[in-house]
Amino acid sequence: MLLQNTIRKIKKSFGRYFSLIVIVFIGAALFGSLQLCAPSIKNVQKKYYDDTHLMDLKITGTLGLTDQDVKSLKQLKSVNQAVGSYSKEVLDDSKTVKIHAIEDEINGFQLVEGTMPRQNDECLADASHYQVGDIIKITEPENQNDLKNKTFKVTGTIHSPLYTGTNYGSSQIGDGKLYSYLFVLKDVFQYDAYTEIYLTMNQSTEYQIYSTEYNKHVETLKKEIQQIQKKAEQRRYDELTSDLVTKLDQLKTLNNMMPNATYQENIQKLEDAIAMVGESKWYLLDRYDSVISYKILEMQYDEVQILANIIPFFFLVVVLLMTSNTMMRMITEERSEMGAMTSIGVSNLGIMRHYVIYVLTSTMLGTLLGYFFGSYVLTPLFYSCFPVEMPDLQYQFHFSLFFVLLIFISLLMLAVTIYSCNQVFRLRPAELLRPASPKSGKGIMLERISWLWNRFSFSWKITIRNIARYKKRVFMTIVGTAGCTFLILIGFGIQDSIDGVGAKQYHEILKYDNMIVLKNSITTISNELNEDLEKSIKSPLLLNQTIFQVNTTTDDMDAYVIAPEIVDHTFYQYFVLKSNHDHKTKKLSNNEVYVTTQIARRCDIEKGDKITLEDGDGNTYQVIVGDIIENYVSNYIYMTRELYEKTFETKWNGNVIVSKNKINNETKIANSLLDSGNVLSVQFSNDLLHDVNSGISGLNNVIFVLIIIASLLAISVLYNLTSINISERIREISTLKVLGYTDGEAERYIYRETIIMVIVGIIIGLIITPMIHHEIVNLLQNDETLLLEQIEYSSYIYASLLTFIFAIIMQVVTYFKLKKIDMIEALKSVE
Amino acid sequence: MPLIEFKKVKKEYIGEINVLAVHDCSFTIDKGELVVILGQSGAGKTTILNMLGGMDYATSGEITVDGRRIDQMKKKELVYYRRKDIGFVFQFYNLIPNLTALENVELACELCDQALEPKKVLKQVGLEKRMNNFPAQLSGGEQQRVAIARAIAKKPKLLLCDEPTGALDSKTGQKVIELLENTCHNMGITTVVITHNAMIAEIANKVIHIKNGTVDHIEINEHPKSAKEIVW
Repeated sequence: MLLQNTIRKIKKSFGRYFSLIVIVFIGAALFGSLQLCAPSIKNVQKKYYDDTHLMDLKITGTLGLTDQDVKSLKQLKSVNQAVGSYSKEVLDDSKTVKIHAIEDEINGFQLVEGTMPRQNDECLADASHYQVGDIIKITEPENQNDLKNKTFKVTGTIHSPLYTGTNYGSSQIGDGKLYSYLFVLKDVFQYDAYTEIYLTMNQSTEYQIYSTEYNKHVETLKKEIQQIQKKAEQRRYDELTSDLVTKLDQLKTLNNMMPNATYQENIQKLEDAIAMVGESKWYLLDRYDSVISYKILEMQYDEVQILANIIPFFFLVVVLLMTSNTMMRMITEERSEMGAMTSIGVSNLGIMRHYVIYVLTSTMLGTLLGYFFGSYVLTPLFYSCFPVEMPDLQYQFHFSLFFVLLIFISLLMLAVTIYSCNQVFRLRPAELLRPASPKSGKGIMLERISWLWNRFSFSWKITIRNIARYKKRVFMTIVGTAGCTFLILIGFGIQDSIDGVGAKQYHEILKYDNMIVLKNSITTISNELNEDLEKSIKSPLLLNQTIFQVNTTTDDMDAYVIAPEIVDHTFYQYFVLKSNHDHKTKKLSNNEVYVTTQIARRCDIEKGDKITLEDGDGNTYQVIVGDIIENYVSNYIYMTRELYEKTFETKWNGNVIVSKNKINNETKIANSLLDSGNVLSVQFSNDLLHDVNSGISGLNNVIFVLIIIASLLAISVLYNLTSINISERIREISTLKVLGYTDGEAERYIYRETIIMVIVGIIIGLIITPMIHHEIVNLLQNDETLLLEQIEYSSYIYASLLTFIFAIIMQVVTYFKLKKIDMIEALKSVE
Repeated sequence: MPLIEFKKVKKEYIGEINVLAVHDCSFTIDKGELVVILGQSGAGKTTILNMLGGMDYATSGEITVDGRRIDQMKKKELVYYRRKDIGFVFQFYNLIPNLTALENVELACELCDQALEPKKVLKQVGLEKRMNNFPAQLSGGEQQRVAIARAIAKKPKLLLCDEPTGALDSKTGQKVIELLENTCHNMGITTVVITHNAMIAEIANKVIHIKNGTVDHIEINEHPKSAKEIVW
């Protein structure tokens, strides 16, 4: 009986049942997929790393590394694997390519196509840039011959977990950008020592990547290594110098016995040779330092997770409003049936059961389908938007999340249903059997201002009074449209905040074209150097750029101190120092420094306060903040050369040059500069701009999907509201039609109301969005990147237009529904 | 020539089960007549009224009103036919709850050029003091009088009333009937009243008896009673 009646209810009002399912579906799909997005992708990354035995730590040494080093590392408690290996940067034409040795136990890869190389003239190559069968001819930098082979045939293409991003970072040769990578047999390398040692930790696979446990473990490993590091560095130094030292000692002894010019010359030579060996030093590089995209991905996970926690909340609010609205309406419509049932003695609970089943089945169905759609379709879609090269997403069903969502939505729906039923049960059965007395008309306040009221035309009076009369529906419509406008606008807004950052930073704030890092610090640009530079660049400005830690209220943050050789027109042309206070450009003074926005925020300081800088050796320095400067990427502290010398009590010297490009070809500029021998690397602002943009493109795409889903929700919400509006007023509309109103005229009668409410809703949406947008942007930005807080005017226009268009489409739907209304039926029945 | 002529009208509802609602229905009504269509519920009265009022199509047969074949009119023409020529009064009044009595009448007047002054019409139906009340503030009889005022304010050729007293007690119902009688005689509006109440039929010039979807017989009252004389 119960089931039959419910099924009949569903059949009778299939449209309503279906729209309940659709709305819950959209909410659940978005909530599920966004929540799953970051964890799922992280799992892929984790599995990829585990499967390929990605190193946890890489050690490089200035003098190379030996088997002895590997042996002593293997004895450390935390070390699982230690493998000595080789890599080398070479040129393929003018592009820099890194060649790695194939290792069995560590740093594996995913074979995309082809087979493993068997000979020294075969190789595996990056699947993003090479194809099986390609012949690659490489050249080593001048005077180097570390590879037995210079020509390789690609037998297989691969993805390596060392290069997950689309950008492979910087290189020491060529144009300063790493273009691609190759893997060859270990035998190809003819170094006398390893260039690096890869390490994995014990139980490394048991920790989630990026987790605190994992990072702590890496720290422990580093500490253990540091204990043997000094000894190993010395050992390598001795190993390289022992022969020389022995010879030197012999020579010295001989020379002491009988001084001789040849001896002295040779002694000098040997001493030079020993000095040439240089310092022996190890560098410990963890995944953050040496795995491309590792850090960017972590930031993106955080960002997506923040969105996943905020946005679906608003979706759920709209979804709940709409479903509860539908249920309320349904129960009101069926009051006479409920009255009939009460009068034959069915208990309240018995009646309520029908509605509870109706609601719960639709909600559960919607949640289930939505959740599956979200995790099967949307999450992979989000994944494909991430700028990474990783294996395909493995689908995982997260029971816990699903149940939390299901129970949460079901409970809320249950509460709404019970509440609505109780509203009706409060009446006596006899009252229920009578039709609900139509909501009585009432005069409104405005009518008392007769001089104004009388000015309205007849139909406007009706519209205004209707709006005042159906307060609940007006509220629902306004909240619904405001919510949709908000969701669309917040999507566009976040896109604006992200999109503009790169251009703002590198077109409006830092306006130089390139930054040249010098091999050796200099005090001024010599004529000789200038000649070299002038081949490819113009207006060079020498700077000191040093990284310091700034002590903030919570922890430390990195910031670059920028102190130019001369503060002149060129400096202000390259660095636009615009104050956050009055938005005017500022001139440097000899007493105060200028800090960028993020430093001021994190340190909670204002103009005139002091900040403390800490250098790599732990020395601290205090400076007074003269002003706070607009900036979006990285953190800078600007000061004059004089203040630099006074603060750090050291002589100023320049280590980087910024300038404008002279020729259009950046590869040529880089080659020309690197060839000169004075230059360590060149960074182009264009590349940095591209990096900023590609670093956030994943997030950007997620938001694009968000806008589409918000639009879908907007459509279903407006449809829901419109159909409820028609169902509530079917008698009224039929009366009008019988009186001789055309379909169009009858439509206009209710359409003006809806349009007014939609416009009010849109305006409210446009007003509240910037406030919430501001909060979200604050959450999304990190130490390194600040987002723009402004939403573009065009976004306001798009969001309003989209919502408005959806409203119009729904009016068209209403028109056809109105046309279909059977006026005779509507007027005959009492219900 | 009669104002209204029904000639062999048939109405069949096609669906899962075909229902023959009206068949072989023929009658005429003259201008200014007060006609009652009498029959049990389900006999087909309302279907006839709906076809006459341009709210429903006949399956076959001819319906002529004032020389125009309304069974052949297009949907749009029917809208204007309802707007200009027809006034409706329903059992459940169907007033717009959100409009005052006066505004409900004005709503109808908006549609016609030569409509009567709404206030005058309300005065005529005895509601001059209740003009600014909303329907919920009026009794059933008063609401029905507003509905009648709304119907006649358009100066229709034809006033169609579907069980106008169905929801009213007999005393109030009698007053409503009296009002209809007066409108018909004083304003000369041809009035058709549908009812199952034989007592009401006594005031009509002509009574069309409907049984099983067709005209059973037509009775001409040479001396119709006045509404004051009838009781039920």
